[in-house]
Amino acid sequence: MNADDARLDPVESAGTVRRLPGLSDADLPFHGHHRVREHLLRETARDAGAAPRPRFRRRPALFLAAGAATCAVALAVTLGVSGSDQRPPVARTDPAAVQLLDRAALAAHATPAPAVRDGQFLYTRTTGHSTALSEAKGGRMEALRTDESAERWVSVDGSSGTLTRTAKGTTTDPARGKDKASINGPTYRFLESLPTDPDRLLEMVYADARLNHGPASGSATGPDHQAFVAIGDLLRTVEAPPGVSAALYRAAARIPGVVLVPEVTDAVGRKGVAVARIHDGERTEWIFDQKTMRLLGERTVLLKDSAWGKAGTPVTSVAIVARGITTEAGQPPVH
Amino acid sequence: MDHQLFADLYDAHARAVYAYAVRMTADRAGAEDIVSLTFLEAWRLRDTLGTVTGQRAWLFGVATNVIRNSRRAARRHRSAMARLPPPDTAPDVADAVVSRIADTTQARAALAALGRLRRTDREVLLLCVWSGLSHDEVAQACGVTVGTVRSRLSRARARLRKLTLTEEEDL
Repeated sequence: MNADDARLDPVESAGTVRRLPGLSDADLPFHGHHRVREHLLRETARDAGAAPRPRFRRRPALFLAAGAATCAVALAVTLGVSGSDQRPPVARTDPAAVQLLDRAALAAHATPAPAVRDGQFLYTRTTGHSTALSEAKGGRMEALRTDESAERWVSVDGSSGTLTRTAKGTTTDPARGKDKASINGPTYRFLESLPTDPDRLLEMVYADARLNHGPASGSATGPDHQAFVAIGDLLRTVEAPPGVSAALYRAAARIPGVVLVPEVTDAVGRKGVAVARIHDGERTEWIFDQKTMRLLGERTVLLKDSAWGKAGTPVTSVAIVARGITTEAGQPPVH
Repeated sequence: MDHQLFADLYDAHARAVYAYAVRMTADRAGAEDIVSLTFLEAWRLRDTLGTVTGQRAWLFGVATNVIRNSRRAARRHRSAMARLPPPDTAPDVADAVVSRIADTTQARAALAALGRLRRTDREVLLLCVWSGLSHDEVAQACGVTVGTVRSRLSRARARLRKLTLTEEEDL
């Protein structure tokens, strides 16, 4: 079928337009065109430049390549950090963290693969919060908590868009299509196609991380931290096939600077043990159940006082509270 | 998408998005906010633009989501929207003339008929007929299958035929 066949028959189309006259684009002139244009260009320039604007944290939700990149740029501008000139000393990896990730990999391997069919959805329910920084009266920056609790339905094969339901309502992303999945926007079929060799997998993750966070990017995140964050996003987004989950944990163990945090509480109060990476005064933690080594959630904690809050504040904490497979988007899984 | 591309995107499609919003909501003042929110969302989601084939279809998908849930979008862009200057209180003469032409009884009746369609049927009909998207593009914009697009379209057309016949008889 070519594109023209898929369009409405021009005769039928003209018939509909005749039935409903007065609604062509020319009939409905946009008087605000110029004013809105100027406003939008100002707003987006503000976003791209250094003017103060509300800053959201890199959102701990799904498919957030856009958010991560934007936030990193904003930080780079604000702090005047250049990724290339001021390389931090090479971070050492904590052997205890490597051991923990190995246990997580073994546990993932032992978990049966979810039985999925094309057209179905991987369901994930998360509970938690993040923080937004906005300019209050008098130019002071004010940190506000944002609810990040959500239910998500991610298409197994990419044939439908991801449906997200939060307290604010329900939205559906445009369908990605079967071939458009990526590390930052995975589908189950895409994950199945990934290598289960940790080194090859890590190379893929780094190739993607370097694209937006490499030396010349102006990003303050840096490829190592971006790789850690990208793997964390991937693990939380959809339940990966056992072999790929295991390889992701083993790949993470090869990222410089990964450490162990012995006792961490997730967003719904469950205690666990965490693997973490420290970057720019913040520690990003993947929290695991001590016994089952199942991933409970993720947290980002401030290590020093800043506009985002006092040291010790979890600026982002999201717990995975339910997972499953559904035939329809918007329906919770049947247990 | 850089800033210049964003400006180009606006110049190419803002008028069409505005007209789509009016047809969808029958609210001309609100349609202006929908244009603003659609482009603010487009800017926010600009990294995903690289993964789609049709810019126009992608943008109409963004607009469709904004119309479905404008309160959510308005909250997300609260501070940017607060900075949007209000329309001039005295529109210039040319504008007033155009408004009179557009504010015909016909257009009002057409909007009323559209308003009696199911919302999802209306989306599909408007995107296919007036915005000129292909069935595939409409499916993507609305987050449904092409089969659903076809069935919604034929249902919308059948209902519209009925509605407009009734109104002609009423006259």
